[in-house]
Amino acid sequence: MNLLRLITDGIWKKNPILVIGIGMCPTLAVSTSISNALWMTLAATFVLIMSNILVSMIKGIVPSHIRIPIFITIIATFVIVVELTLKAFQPDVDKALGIFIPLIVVNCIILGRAEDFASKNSVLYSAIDGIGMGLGFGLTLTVLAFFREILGANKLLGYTLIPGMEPSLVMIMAPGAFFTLAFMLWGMNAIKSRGKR
Amino acid sequence: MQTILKPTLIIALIAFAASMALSHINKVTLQRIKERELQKKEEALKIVLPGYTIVEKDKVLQVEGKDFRYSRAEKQVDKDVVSAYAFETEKAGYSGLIKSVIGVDENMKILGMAIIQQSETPGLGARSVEIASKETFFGHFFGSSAAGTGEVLAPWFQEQFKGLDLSRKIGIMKKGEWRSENEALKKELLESNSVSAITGATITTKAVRDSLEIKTEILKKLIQMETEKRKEDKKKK
Repeated sequence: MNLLRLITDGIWKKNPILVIGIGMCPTLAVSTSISNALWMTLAATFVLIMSNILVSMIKGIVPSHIRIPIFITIIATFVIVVELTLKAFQPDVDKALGIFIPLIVVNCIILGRAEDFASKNSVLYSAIDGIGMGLGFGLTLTVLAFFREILGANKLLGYTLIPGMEPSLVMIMAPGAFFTLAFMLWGMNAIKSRGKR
Repeated sequence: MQTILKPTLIIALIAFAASMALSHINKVTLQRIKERELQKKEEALKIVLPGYTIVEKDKVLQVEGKDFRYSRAEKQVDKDVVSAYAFETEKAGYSGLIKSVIGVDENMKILGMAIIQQSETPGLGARSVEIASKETFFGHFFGSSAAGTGEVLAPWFQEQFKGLDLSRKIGIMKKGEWRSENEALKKELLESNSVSAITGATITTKAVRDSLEIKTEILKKLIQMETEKRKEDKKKK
């Protein structure tokens, strides 16, 4: 297995959101601004890499019929680490993301990768897979947030773009996220099918 | 036996390791989190009672078996000493409690309010604590003349409660984001005793408004009681 391949797979061929279709809830919820998206990516990727490493380390001793509660315990532990750290050192971020930090526990990407990849592969590969998947998640989130922040809030990176213009509200709400996601899927599939022809 | 004992031991071991790690993290961060919260409350008190000095902190008034906590502050106006009161209130918003601190003067005019805890939707209800920036994107990165002065403004949503009369009903208008330089809208809102709702987050706006109004009755009693007490004190002197 090629290490670089693992990373590019996470971004393109096996992009967790656009291809596998998991982790939608935080994707739709926190992609309202780029800064939210980036902090969410950082938090989720940290949990993903750490849980992948740990799951891979203990894969030999975990009986398969109790693996899910064990994975969840590990994931939840890292999520609380992230939550407390943010509360102590980045209270504004904690305020902005609110409930979606604790909800990383049930982010399907993390449990999915633990189950699908880390419990079957070596520690190094699992860590790299975490990085790749995290990058894929983060890039998708950032692109989504880029469009939603511009169209929905008339802002970019928190700064007003065109003073006085009323932004389109629907883009900041859930439907806007679905629309943008649909366009991204369309674009991605268009590029992919062009290569096949 | 083997099929029960081994999994149990493994789960126990992992749970033990997790608790160890968490208790350690908690120990490291707890102090800081507490400090932040205390600091936030202190700052909130300063925001909601501008120009006043706090005289009595955390007083308790018992009304109908319920405790009502408040702080009293004073300010010298001409030769008189006027009082102001700050209290905490909360109400469920769109997702979770919204807690805020409010300062009122003796005539129940709101001197200021600050939301200290909320878990509303990012980008919608969470904008209740968002600080409006005068700077524009192009201004910031390309240094055009339209760039703002970079001054820190209070969150516009909280700012607009200033000057409203709590003894009357507070209305909600849908006028969009409110800016301090928009004098006409400011006047209109003040005259009709209203706030402008956060676009797309009417529930949050309503919850904040209602969280103030549920305290109106008790506040009236409190102010009456305190004012009489001040008068008696004066007579004695």
